[in-house]
Amino acid sequence: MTILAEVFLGLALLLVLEALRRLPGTANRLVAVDALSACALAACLVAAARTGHTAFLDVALGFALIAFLATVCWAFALRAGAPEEDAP
Amino acid sequence: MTALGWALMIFGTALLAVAALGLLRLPDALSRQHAATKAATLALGVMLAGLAVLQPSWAWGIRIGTLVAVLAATVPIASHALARAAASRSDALESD
Repeated sequence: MTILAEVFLGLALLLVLEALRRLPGTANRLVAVDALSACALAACLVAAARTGHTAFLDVALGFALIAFLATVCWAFALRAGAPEEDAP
Repeated sequence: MTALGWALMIFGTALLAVAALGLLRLPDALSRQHAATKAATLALGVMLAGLAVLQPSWAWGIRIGTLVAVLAATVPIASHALARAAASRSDALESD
């Protein structure tokens, strides 16, 4: 029954990747990347629960900080003027 | 206790799936972000609560508490920066 956690996580990953593929524009894709980092954090938490190792929580902590920095940097880059149309 | 912990983990991942569904269904960038950020924060919080129920010890509790504090501090800031950037662009508010 606990396999449902991985099933829902995989469903969320598929939906986020589909959003990343389908949505137009830079801002939408940044939102999708933000959701993708949340999915990666959730994967770290599920791995910690499965294995019982606290090391996965340290990985999750580092990844949360990196994802925060990445999102803020991309947001400032977007504000400073990334091209409006999609890059090829 | 194990059943409750795993139930919380499963509920958290289901919330994450709902957040991803909202990302696909909502009309523009700001509302998509509203779905993604808030629901994902709640999902991660519920999953961390489940983890704390599964492993009730200090080594886990310290890390879980740090993660909750870091997420509660950083996710709104990142979301706010992203929303401000999105609102300043012309392609953010048109529905498709």
